[in-house]
Amino acid sequence: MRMEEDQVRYVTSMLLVVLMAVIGVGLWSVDLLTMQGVFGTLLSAELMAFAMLSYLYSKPSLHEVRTSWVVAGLASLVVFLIVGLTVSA
Amino acid sequence: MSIERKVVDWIESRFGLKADVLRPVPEYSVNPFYWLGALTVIAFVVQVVTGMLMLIYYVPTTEQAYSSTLYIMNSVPLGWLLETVHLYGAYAMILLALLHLFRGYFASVHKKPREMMWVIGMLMGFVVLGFGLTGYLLTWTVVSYSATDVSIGMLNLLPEQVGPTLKFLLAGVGGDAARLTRFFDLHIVVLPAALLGLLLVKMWMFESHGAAEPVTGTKPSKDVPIFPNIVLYIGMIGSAFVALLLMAAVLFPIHLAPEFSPLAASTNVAQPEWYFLWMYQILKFTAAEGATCIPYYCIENIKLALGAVSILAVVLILLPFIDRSRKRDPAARPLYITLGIILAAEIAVLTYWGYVTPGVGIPNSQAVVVLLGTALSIAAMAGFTYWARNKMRGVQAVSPAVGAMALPFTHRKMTALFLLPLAVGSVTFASMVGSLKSSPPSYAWASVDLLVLVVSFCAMVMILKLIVNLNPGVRR
Repeated sequence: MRMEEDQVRYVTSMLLVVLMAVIGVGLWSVDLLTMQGVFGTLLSAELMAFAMLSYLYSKPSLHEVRTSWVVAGLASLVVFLIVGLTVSA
Repeated sequence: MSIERKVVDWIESRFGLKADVLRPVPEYSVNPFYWLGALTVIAFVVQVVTGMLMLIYYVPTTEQAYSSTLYIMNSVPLGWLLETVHLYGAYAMILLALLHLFRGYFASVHKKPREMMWVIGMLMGFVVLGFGLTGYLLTWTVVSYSATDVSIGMLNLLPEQVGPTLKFLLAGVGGDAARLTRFFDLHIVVLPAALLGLLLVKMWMFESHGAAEPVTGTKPSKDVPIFPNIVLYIGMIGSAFVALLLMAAVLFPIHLAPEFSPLAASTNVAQPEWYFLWMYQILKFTAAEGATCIPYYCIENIKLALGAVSILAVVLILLPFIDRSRKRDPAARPLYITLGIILAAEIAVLTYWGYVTPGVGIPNSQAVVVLLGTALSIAAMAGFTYWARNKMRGVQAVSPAVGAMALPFTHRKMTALFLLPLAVGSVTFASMVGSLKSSPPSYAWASVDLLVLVVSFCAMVMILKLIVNLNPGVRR
């Protein structure tokens, strides 16, 4: 089954929104006295996810969305989350 | 109707965005280079937010400035993150403002009808530097105090006629306590108000003139609405920028230098922050010592050097009224493009040089070789690029300038041959600078180095000419 352009964008954005919600819960629950570095990295990841979400909708058509930018955003998100885990370890 | 459309419609109607508050922007301007100014404003917002949070704990007195800063860093939850983000945000703001300036210069955005936008932008740039100067003192560390002392010293050297008000505001009268209070007030009240006022004027003019057209001419381009596309675009670059700033702060947190005391200051090598380092390096030249006398009048050389830097600032402010040609394409502006690259390179070279030679005086011969060498190398490269461009005009389907840049990839063997004299020339240049740095300077070795450098340069020019002439269809 081939998804339409709007559906692709909708599904991707929903995934990002869920990710942002999960990171948001993490931000809310970290101990600000002992896990300050984790808070910083999670906040970075939250902002990067928001940047990707904004990028997806800043283009009128999904054809104008560059895959390289989406991949770069996802890669940085993964790096930020890994750094967050490393800092907390 | 999709959920997204409903959300957009709701925001549009409730916030009154359906009325055209801001005009749409052309599609070609949806590019990060067009939004360097917006990114600078985002950096300013980050500074305002982090600065206001730090204000809760910061005490601007000579007795408590350092201890309150230390308290923020060590005891306030996320205080070190706030301090680090505030410092890195300041660096980013200055760097972005510089990039915005040079991008505007090379893209000729200062030409009719945007002359006054350029002038206002330059004034905003000076305000941003003012933020750096006044904010650095507030931590009251030995490093920041000494650095500010250097900057105030430079300002005190300016002739009284140049800026009595500016000198009074920054250098002022009174001791350390008065200076700290004055800098604090300037940093959190006067400069933000000035920046916001100038920003308002610039935005007003931007709404009237719009984004500058591409340098290669206006192409038919559809408009992109401010809401939601541009708002989301700015949200995207802004969020990514703040995310990177935060990550840099987490990975490389700052550590506070020791507190200022006259004893600590006596053992510290005074060095301004990196954005004033290029200017300070000029003042370290031997030529800046002593005085120049003409009949009936003597002036200190250091004042002449500062005068030259001030003239450069005035020329940059008044650039739209000096560079009055209507041509905007860099290919048609060889003089101004070359001068711009030379200026950027000299600032970069002087900054790096100042960073690696703290507190060391620079002999005149070394200064001449480095500054003149940089200028001549760039002039030669620019000259070759424009010459190759003219030769290749019409040969390739792509833009002639791009064609010239692609040459190294189409003639790899010749490029490898070219790299040989380039490497020899670079090593010889470094050796020549070293010969002149030794005390006493070794002029004999410097002369040999100069000879090898000239031969390498001639070899490079010959190989480059050969590469261009090898291109089929080149006009001979």
